[in-house]
Amino acid sequence: MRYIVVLLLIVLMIQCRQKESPSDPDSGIYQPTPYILQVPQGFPQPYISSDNPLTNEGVDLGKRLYSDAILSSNGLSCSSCHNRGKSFSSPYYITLTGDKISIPPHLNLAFNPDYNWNGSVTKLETLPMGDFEPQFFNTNADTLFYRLSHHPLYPQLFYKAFGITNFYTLSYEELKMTICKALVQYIRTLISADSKLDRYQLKGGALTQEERDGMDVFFSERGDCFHCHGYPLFTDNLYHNNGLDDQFTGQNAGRNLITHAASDMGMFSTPTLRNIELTAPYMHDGRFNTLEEVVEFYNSGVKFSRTIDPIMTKPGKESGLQLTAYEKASLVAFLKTLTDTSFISAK
Amino acid sequence: MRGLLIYLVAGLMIVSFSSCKRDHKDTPKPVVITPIKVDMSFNVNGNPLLFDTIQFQNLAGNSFSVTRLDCYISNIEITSVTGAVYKSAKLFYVSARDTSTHHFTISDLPLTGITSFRCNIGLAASQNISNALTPTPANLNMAWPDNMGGGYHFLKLEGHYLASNLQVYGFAMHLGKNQNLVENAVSATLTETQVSNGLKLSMDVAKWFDVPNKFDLNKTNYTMGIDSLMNLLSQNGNNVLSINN
Repeated sequence: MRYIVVLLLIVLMIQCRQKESPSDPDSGIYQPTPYILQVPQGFPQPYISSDNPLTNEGVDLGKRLYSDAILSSNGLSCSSCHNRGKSFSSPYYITLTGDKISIPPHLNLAFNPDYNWNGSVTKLETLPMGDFEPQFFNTNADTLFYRLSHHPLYPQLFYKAFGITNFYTLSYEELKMTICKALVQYIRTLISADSKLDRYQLKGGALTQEERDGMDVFFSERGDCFHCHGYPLFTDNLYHNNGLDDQFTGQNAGRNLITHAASDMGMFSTPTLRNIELTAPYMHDGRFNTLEEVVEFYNSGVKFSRTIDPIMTKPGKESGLQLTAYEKASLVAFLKTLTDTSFISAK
Repeated sequence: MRGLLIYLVAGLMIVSFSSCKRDHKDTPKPVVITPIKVDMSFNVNGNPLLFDTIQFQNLAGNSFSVTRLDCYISNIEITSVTGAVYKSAKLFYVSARDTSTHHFTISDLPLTGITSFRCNIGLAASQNISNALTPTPANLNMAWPDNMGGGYHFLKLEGHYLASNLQVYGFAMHLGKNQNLVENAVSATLTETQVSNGLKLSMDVAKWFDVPNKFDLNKTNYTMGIDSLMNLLSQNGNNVLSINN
């Protein structure tokens, strides 16, 4: 009878503990641990793909792959262009058609419904797929399979994250998509919400008088920045023609290249202003090198076209905000309070 | 000894089952409340609202297009045959571009015996406080900056118009602040059939410009932060909604 009791206890303990078991290829158990994404105060719920839930193992794998040149044949990794010190961005790249495109930062992408300046990507998992192409990683499929299979860590890490026991059971497309899923799990954890402004808003931190004056310009009709760059995301995740051009060719057609709607001509996805100090040059084509140039554009350089955003044509300010020199300087000072040093220094 | 063991085994099983049961809790049966369905639609002078093309006219003679129309519907109030008045605690964000927001259900009011329906455009003072609403993307984009008083936009109506100099300009008719709440934006007597079929709530966009205050976009194309203009716009808000079934 004693044995029955002991046996019963063991059976019950196993039943209740199964869910906590880590992935282990030797035991045949694949069970990644859900990753709890901390959503900062005031932020919306993140967009998480139902077929790619965040797990500790997936995020760890993605983080490692993000800065590993194993994915490329030319020594490049994601972090080559998405430099942490620049808020996971870098100045720009030149497209095959010769257009200059500013590289958006990998920051708070968990809260974006679509991606790239013109919204060409609607699912984050597909965003890195283009990186395997010749103009970026120039990845060789056979080399990639071989390197991953013979790596001392990756076979175990891919098993833990996705239950993959043999890379060669996957097609090249499946392997790339699995890599993308891991990368995207990591990218979704790149959340910036600890800037000087956040500390001022939520934790009693201080701003200088100039920064507060700049905030007044930003969040009032004087500068009218808030309609598209509201707190806390500093993007409305919508498309606007902000008056950069009145003629649209090549990439400058913006959203129109995706929808082909005349009403979308010259429209671009609103970029977040978080860490804007670190992500020069500015606008989709990197035409402005400094924040001062950006502010001066909004102050005096707005161009009219049929799709210009209605907010940009406020009476008396049709060609710009007409700010004073001090207002412009204070606006720049305020924008620099959006820099999150803990985000760029976190390991 | 044998009896003791039986009790011990039985006790252990009860403890174990109750601890494992956390994973598959029985959910209590929900209380069934038949919701009042509302289908919202948008028109301009009776014509379907089509975005982005300058094809509509207001009373002032401005040709205009609509690029954006977002608002809150709140303070829904119904009267029953007994004369009792019920007020819903729910509020609804509606974006004319996003058809998924056009259909909403009021699930906290009794369905039977309704004789009248009222609602506001905007938010009550108790809701119109910064960060009072769940931070959805829509609510965040409707936020009214603290520097300007805080709370939320009640309405964002934006588009383009053909100005008297034949140039295309933009307009942005924004509404906010407690004093500009559009109270009783619609107040209609209903039949039982209307309610059970779902209410067809319709907004005529042109009426924001027309009645009782005529807006000439050549003179007034931007209202935000200008209390006098928002007040006029708010008055027009009392004529934009109707129930069409």
